[in-house]
Amino acid sequence: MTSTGPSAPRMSADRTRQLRAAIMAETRISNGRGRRPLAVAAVATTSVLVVGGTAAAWVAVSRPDDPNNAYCSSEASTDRDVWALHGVGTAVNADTGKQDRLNALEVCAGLWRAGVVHEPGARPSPSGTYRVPGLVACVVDDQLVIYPGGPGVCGQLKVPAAEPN
Amino acid sequence: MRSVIDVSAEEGLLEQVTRNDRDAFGALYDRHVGAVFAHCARQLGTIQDADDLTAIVFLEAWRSRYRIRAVNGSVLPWLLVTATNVARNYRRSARRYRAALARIPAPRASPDHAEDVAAAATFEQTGRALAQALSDLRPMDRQVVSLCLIAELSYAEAAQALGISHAAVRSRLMRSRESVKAALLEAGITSSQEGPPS
Repeated sequence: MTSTGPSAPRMSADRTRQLRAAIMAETRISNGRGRRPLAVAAVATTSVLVVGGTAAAWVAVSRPDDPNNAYCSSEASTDRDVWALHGVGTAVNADTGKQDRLNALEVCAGLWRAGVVHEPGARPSPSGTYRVPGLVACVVDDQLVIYPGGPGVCGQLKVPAAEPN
Repeated sequence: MRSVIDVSAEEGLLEQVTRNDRDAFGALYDRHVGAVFAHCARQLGTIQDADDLTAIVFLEAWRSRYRIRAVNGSVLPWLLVTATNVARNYRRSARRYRAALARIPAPRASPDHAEDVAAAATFEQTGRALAQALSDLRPMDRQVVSLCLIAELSYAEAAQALGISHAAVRSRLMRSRESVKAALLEAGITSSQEGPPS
């Protein structure tokens, strides 16, 4: 069978039309507000001479799809199963529907400190807190991901660094 | 295995959508709303809320129209991947689109067709087990199972839609198959992907 086979759940024709009208109305409201993918911009390309040959060093920055939701990764990996384990986000104001601004580096540091995100075998200090490594913000699959490590981590993973919020 | 994706003229539509052509977006909706709704219902395990989730997927598609990636010329895989992602974070996504969802009128009262009622009841009985089995999987495994075993995309299409290798799709399916097989059967889903990969 396929997703639209005889036993597939179906929406009624009337509801399908109703939903279509509503979605098309929304596209009229938000027409032109979409973001073109030019947010990913190579800002510097440098050739670096190294012993025995040359290597290109590059720096790219990008804006995540949603800066108010992020993931705190315990290791530098682009495997979604690794970086998407711990998601963080800010609350949405119930009255306005607007989401508070997220300081992802600070929130992820808190998760590291509490031991929620940790390296294998990490042990707490006598005060019960865990060591917080240096953290860096990258963009993976349009998501904001906070990795342990220095500023070179995004480049090593071949993903853009996140634009400052 | 033959692809289940019908791609005729779809790349042209997608190009028009990236130029803010709403009529073209409407045409994409007409093409895929059935498959997206079925996918959403299976992800949630219920028909209730599946129309809201479907709306969110298409609103997300419009918002992300400049970066939709077609697979074999079709946007359906992208829509299904988005549906699975949105279903995982349904409450959060519903909050993001709260205002838009609130503007969607409630379903009109209409005489229930006995066939539809029976089909919905059957799905409700089995759908939850499937949704539970899916939610127990790791996020990427859930995507692979949803695309290959439920939506019946080929391994190659799933690999392209998810940005992973053909081998990774296979190994993730191998890993997940046993754990979801019983739930899939219970939900009446017998996949043609049981054979050798395409």
